[in-house]
Amino acid sequence: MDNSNDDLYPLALLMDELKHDDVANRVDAMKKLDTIAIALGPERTVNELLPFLNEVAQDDEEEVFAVLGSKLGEFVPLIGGPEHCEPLIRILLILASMEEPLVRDKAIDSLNHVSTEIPHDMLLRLYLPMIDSLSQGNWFSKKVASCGLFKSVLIKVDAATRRDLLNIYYKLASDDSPMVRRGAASHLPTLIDKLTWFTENYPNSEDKVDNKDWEIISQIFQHLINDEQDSVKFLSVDVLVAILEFFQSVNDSSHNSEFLISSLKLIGDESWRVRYTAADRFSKVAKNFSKNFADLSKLIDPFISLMNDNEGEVRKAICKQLPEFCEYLGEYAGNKDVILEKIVPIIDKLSQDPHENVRASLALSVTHLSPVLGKQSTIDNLLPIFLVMLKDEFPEVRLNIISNLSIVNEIIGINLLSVNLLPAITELAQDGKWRVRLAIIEYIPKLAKQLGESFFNDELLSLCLSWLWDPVFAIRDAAVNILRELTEIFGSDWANKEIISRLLNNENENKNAEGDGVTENSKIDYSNFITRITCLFTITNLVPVVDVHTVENKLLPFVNSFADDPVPNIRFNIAKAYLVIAKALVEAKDTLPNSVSLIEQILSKLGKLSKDEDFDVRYYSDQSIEEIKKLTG
Amino acid sequence: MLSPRQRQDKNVRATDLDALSCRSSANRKGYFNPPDVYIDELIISYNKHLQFCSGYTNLSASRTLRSVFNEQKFPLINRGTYLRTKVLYDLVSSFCKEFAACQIISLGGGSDTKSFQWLENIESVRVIEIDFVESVKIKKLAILNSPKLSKVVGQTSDESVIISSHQSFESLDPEFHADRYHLIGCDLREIKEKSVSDNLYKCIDTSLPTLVLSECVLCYLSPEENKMILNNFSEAFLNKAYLSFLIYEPMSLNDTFGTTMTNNLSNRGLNLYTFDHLPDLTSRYKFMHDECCIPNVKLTDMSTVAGYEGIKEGFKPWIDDADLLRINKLELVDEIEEIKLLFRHYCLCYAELPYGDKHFRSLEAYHWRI
Amino acid sequence: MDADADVPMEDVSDERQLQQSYDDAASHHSYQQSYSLKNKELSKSNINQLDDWIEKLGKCEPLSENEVKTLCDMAIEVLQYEQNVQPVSVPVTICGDVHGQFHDLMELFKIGGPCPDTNYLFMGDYVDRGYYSVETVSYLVCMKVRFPNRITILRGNHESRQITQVYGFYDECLRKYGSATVWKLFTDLFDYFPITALVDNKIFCLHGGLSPMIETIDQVRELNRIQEVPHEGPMCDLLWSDPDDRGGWGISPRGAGFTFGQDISEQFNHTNDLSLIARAHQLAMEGYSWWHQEAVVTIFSAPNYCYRCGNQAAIMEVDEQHARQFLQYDPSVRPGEPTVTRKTPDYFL
Repeated sequence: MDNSNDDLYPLALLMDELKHDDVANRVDAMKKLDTIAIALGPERTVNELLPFLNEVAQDDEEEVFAVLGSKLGEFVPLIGGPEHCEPLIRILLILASMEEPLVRDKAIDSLNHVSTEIPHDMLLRLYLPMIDSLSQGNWFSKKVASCGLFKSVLIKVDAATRRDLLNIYYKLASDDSPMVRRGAASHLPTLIDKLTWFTENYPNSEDKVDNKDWEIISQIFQHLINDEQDSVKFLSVDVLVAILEFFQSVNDSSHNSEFLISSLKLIGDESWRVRYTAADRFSKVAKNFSKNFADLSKLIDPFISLMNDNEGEVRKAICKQLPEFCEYLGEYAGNKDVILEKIVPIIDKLSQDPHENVRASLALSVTHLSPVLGKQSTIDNLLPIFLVMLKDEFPEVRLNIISNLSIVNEIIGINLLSVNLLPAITELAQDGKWRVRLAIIEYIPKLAKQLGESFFNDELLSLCLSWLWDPVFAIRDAAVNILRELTEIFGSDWANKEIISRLLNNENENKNAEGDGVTENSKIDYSNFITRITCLFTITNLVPVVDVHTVENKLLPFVNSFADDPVPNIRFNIAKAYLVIAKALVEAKDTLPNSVSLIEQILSKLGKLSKDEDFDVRYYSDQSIEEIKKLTG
Repeated sequence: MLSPRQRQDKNVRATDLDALSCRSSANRKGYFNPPDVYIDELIISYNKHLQFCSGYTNLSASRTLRSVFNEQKFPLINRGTYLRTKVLYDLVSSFCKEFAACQIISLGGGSDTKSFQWLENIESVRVIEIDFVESVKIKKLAILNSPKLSKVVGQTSDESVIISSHQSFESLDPEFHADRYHLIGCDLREIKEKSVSDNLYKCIDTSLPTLVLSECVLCYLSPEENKMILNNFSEAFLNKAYLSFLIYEPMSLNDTFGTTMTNNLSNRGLNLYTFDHLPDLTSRYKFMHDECCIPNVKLTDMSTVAGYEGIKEGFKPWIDDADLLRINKLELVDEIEEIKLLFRHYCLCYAELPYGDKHFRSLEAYHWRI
Repeated sequence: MDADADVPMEDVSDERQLQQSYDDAASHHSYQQSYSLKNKELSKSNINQLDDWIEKLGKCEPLSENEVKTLCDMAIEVLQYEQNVQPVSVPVTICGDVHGQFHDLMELFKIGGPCPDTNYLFMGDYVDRGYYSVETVSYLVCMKVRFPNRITILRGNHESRQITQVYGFYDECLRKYGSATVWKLFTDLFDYFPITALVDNKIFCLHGGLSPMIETIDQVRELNRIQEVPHEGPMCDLLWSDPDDRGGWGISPRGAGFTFGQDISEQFNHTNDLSLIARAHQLAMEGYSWWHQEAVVTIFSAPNYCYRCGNQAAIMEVDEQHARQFLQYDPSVRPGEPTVTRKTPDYFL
């Protein structure tokens, strides 16, 4: 008994935390609910903890409820097994009836989970009446909760009970409150999936799903598809998809013509939300008709009508479906022409859609049409569209095109693509929001690989260098890093010629590389501290990726030239740079005969810096000396 | 357990605790001169009875009260609370002085104590307070159990009322009637329903010049509901007596502060329906004048009222210099720009339906922006 | 303490004074140097400890109470030798109020570059209002101790015992440490913070503004600053005053300090041969705002101040040629940041 006090102490603390005034503390304590229950043991959990939680469930914050709701799902073992689960289910029931979707969903998930941990007879005894009474609840959220619970029992009952359940569901799906109908509609696909699973796994069960079940489901579907509320009707698209999947799984295409009618009805619905959902799930629907060309081709015009929809959101959604639908079409010979004749002109129009989100969505998917259309059609028909979109005023559109260009590149090669790429990138590179600039910088190495060295040098290099002078540090830093990545791609000679010589202002030596007079402007003005330190960072960062002769002949002298800089920040970064250089020299000591003397030279420079007037310069010099001595033994 | 609508209403009712805790804090810091002796009586009632309100448990009620009352309020909140209270109190008092026998209808006044001060200081005034049933019950229990409050409303009784359970709170009659003071529990959204309006107009004297006060109440209702409630009063007083509305509430001004405020409050489950819909003084003027058909509408914002802004444009502050000097000494205020920003987002509106030649003449003494 | 100051500095700095344009800066530089050499230099183990703390604080994890105690002791060693008018060299990045908005401070370093590579001058108000005052002030003090020559932290009017009890730092310490010890340690430390800085003899930096009792910068040097911020008098004014459109001196609506007009600023800049007064203290919706025909600038570095105001923040870079560049930024993006720990800011409801 003595021990029990020790055990109880942290428990008491946790219980206090559950009552803490600060929500964050209560949420944290709630997350440890299982620990508390384990410490208490099953009996006290049932007798003390659950009644307390029952009170908590009456009034607390949503965040606490959400954690409580999900934690209780794991509680059956902690209360000593299923026989005590009634108070547990009662608490979950309170939470499941709340109107906050987050809380409700967690509680319903937990109730469904609990249902898998209790014996079959108990499941029926507890859940069937619960579903029944919730479905007749006095406010909508109870009925909504009931919709989520059907899946725990639907394929665990006999055929007659199942039909009763489906009839209750039918009532819910035709309830006065749109919220309830919405709940019914949104859970129906899961229920149909359950029936599909059951049919696949127990084809010969005496309770197998038969036409009577489908009659009810079909009635529910008809109800939903004709619902007066858009917010309900749009959910029937997913119901349709689930039904189609069922019939596909049993290889029954006898209803296809009805389903096609329903599909077309939804696609052509007067409510944009319904059309939006139909557009969003278009390829899922189309998939079910993809085996039959006659059926599939009936979807082409509806597809186009969605692309021409008045609502931007619908157009945005259907743009995402382009690749998949065109792929289905592409499987039938001759359909490439259909795509070119009917769909591409609309794509062309959408590329200049008034809504930027539509264009952004199109930009993400349009590049994926290249493989479907092949090289010549891509060049003739898609490339002009890409180029228009690369000039889009909205940065995301350009970014989306650029991020997927490798697909196009594979089909048509980079040269054709690259000509108009530049202005788009240049503009993104100068966007007012620094995070947009950062996003484009991150694509540069990828682009560099696609574009190849010479194009890159001609068109993008000066841009990359210009990021070094960005007012925002994060951009300069990203530029420093991509110059290193680019060096890894193009090699040491490239870095030497294109970056290092520019930064070192030795451009005259290879003026022939540059014919357009940019040289004058790109002369670097070292009187500015940020310029100097950024150059230093760039150079230091290149040391590990260029050949050691460049380090010896270019980088080291450059670093040396800064050793007397008036700003201490430069001097201590020089001290750090020396270490990086020394590491490179040590690694290359076999190929570089004078590496030892160079390291000596560095150590002597560092020795001088270690007597600097500034503490940080001395500190980093000493650090570097120490490290170098370790390296050289 | 609460239905969805009940939960929303609970969030709105909880704002009464905010307002009470702000007044209590300003009172403790010495802003009110003389100090408000009624605030504590209401806090006592909340401490005793909040746990019995629907949607609260003992645990959550005490937590709520602690978090609201134990936390220090920033000086800007104290100052804003004082200015709001002072300005509304003075304006209504001068209304009462001008009209002598008159009536104040306070909507959603909850735990507000101005009514008690009017009763105490102005002999000829009738006060009718209307709020959610539970808020009214808390106030009624405060009155019944406090000699100070019973005395000021003019109805003392020896028996104190003890509530000890949800059930006994539930079954308590919310209404309270004294000679010059009536407390009515109802949901303003249901004002058109016959039983509600019968009950209401039983207590309201439509022959008296009347001012309807709404402090951060109508903002939680849709513009349609606002219009419906204002019209309901207008019709009741039509051709019978002078009627005016005095409204204090936030507006978004369509700026980043407004957007942030919308987000912050929706995190608390509060939706300010008129906040974006009537974002500035001009749109509010149009709404009151054109849509609600109220002929004489005056508007200004609290930053101007308090003299933080508008002085250069010639708007005189409503607070006199001596008082300003006095409150400046109470606390160091390091939030001047924030005060301006926050106060600018609160509007004050006086809208009157003149009756015959009756018109609130002292109105001109105050500087309004519109 | 002086025993360690054995490096003969003069030679080095003489050698360096080659460029005429750096003369001023360099002479100043050595002045600052000779001063800071008085204090004890950090030992290697101190440095490692500080680096660990900086890493931990960088993740917004507070130090333990004992660690704060050690940190504050170290910080007093550094700060007590700084001057009332702490000389600062260019280049430097000047920042305004931060107010416990830790994640926005990290955003600031993303914009301006990390310390110590970039030199920083913060003009006070690290604590109160935001939810992470403890982490913010711990971080900045750590940086100060670790890199005393790279970062200058001035005192704001919130670095005071009285104000922190009203505006949140005290409560936050209680909440995070369970007692007021850490609050006491920090507020005792605040007494040592320098109250103004002079960037290259040209830009006078301070939290609030001017004082009717201060005409010259030398008068600031004569103040005894190591004390709680007084309710009145010159030290109070430097931390509390605001520029105003009205000329002359005015009564401040804050209850402390004064308002000062363009005539006052111009006179002060003229008398002290200054190009600019840089100060913080006031919310600026764009992050900075010019006053008095560019005689005074307000810099405010807390975006969406108090999670309520919807403003941008800014910092000001001053380069070696004294060219200024303002960098504006928005609240940091924190995907997945739970809102649960956040109390809704107060409104009138």
